[in-house]
Amino acid sequence: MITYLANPERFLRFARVAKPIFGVVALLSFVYGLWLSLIGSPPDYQQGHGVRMMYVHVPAAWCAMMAYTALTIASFVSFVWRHPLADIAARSFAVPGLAFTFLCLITGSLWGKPTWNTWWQWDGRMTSVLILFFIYLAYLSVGSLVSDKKKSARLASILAMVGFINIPIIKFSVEWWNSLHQPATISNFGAPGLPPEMLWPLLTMVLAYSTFFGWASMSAIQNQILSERTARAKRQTGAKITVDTL
Amino acid sequence: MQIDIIKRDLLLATRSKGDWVMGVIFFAVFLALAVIALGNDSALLRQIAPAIVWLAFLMSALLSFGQIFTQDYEDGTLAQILIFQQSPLKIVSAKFIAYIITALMPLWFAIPLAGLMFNLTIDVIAGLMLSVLIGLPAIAAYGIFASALTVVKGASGVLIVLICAPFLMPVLIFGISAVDIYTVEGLWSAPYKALFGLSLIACATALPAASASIKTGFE
Amino acid sequence: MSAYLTFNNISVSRGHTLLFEGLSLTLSSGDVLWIQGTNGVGKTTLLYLSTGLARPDTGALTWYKDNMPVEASEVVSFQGHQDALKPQLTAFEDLSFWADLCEYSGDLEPVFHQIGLQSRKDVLTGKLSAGQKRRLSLARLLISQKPVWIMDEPSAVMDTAGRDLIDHLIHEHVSHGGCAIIASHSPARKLGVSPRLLTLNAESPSP
Repeated sequence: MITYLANPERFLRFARVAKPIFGVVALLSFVYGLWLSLIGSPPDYQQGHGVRMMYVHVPAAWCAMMAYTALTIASFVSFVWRHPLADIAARSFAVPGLAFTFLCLITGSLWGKPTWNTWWQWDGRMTSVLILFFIYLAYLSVGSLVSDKKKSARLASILAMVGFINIPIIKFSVEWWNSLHQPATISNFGAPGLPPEMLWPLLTMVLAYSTFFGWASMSAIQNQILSERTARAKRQTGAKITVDTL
Repeated sequence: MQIDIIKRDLLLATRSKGDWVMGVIFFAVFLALAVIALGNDSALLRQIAPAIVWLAFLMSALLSFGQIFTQDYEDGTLAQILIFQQSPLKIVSAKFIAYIITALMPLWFAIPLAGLMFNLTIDVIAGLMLSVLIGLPAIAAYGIFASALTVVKGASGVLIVLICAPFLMPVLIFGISAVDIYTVEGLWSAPYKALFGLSLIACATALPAASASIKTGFE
Repeated sequence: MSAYLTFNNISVSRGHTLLFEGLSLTLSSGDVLWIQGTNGVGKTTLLYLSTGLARPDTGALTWYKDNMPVEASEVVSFQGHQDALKPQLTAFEDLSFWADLCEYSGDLEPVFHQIGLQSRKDVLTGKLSAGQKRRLSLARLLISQKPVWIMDEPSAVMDTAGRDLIDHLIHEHVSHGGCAIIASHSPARKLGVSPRLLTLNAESPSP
């Protein structure tokens, strides 16, 4: 799949079909998910209606981490094999990733106010998501560091790989620091986790977020390929080389 | 060859007297400003002294990150060294050691002075010095990394801070909690182990990343 | 005659600008290759390629020692347009650092004599004139003991005696089995066994 799509031509052909599908699925599941989470699901016995924030917050957090993981994988491929499409892909994951992280921080803060009576708490998970936010920012600014795009992309990919250390920290932070933040409810399927009437809206929203992520990054990759193609077409012929014996 | 670079950097540091002194002066000024801002409540000052001193140390270090590679890059020395010995990791590790000796150690030796300013007990000063010492490789490694990543652009202070800050936040968090716990549990407590782990991870990831950045900078 | 460096169908671009393509060339002992062209046409890039620091977009460079492919650092020595000197060190201290780095075990006195700086060796390099700094960076080529000399505008700030010195050193080096690649605006001179002139000619003048 990945090697098949590694060719820009094939990717463009794939994106022409897949992008609308992703877009439609994102839109439909978002509308349905919003309806489910706002109206179609019961309030929590502890948190009341505040629990509805979960349906926007948790998928944002997941997608922020997923986007960073994808970013790291693409960066690794671009660094090791110098594949130009991996460069483009990595850059295209960064902006949606930054947006998800920002959304996660904002909704988390809005959720925290009614439930914990504080906008912000310096616990492990929140701090590490904030760190993720800064890493995204640093990645984007290194990505436009020098005018030579290839060089900037390569430098940014190095930063992305070093920054990946933060992802497992976010994942395990709730277990390492016992604080306000509730531990993951979905991961322990054996234990009584989320009731189905809450699980469904959550999963629908996760689908909406991930298909949106797919749609957004695919459009970004598409645009980038096309603009590089026009830039290449406009490129002047190089200097003529002559070698004479003196 | 590392030893040659370290020797040269030490010689350069003794010749250009100003640079490392400036770091220590900044450290002292930062502490003085913090004390003025926080008022003269000595109980409060003693309580938050570890955080202030750690912050002052980190700020002074952040200021000096930009200079690690800039001069060698701009006068062509870095290219020459790379051409002679195409192993950027050797250069990076030499610079790492030289940077610790010339820039961070003078700051580290200034910590007891800070202890005097805050009227700290010997225990707390010892805890501070130990926690900074254990976190020091992480600070230097990420500093070298940020400096190497931005060297093609010349010294770009704000960007260096943006790159380092996410990685140094955990160091700061554990560093400060290490000082608080030193008087109770001593050196074998969790924050010290975490700091040690952070330093190990930093050396294992940031130093190779710095050498890859240096190489990329010339491509 | 053994080859030191081969260019195989090299193309290089800077951003979206193609500098040149299809460069194939072999440098062997006794060769002197002059590179000429207008500013920004890619002379320095070509030199950086030869040092192994820069990478071509396509094609491959191979460096040889005793007919075996090796790392560039084994055979290449470089004099850039920057002198890579530290103003806080004396000429002697500076050259000693480079001597340590490239494991030159010989005496540095004769080297200073060769470049005509024997009376200035205890002066801080920051106090040397531009031409004297240039001479000192020539000394780095001498102590490197590498067969391929890559030089960027070696005679830029030199007086007549300095230019003669450069020509003399290159001639000596090349006739002892080395080779040289020289980017220069001054007219190419017949040095060594087989001097060649590579001209980079931009189709349209770059802005």
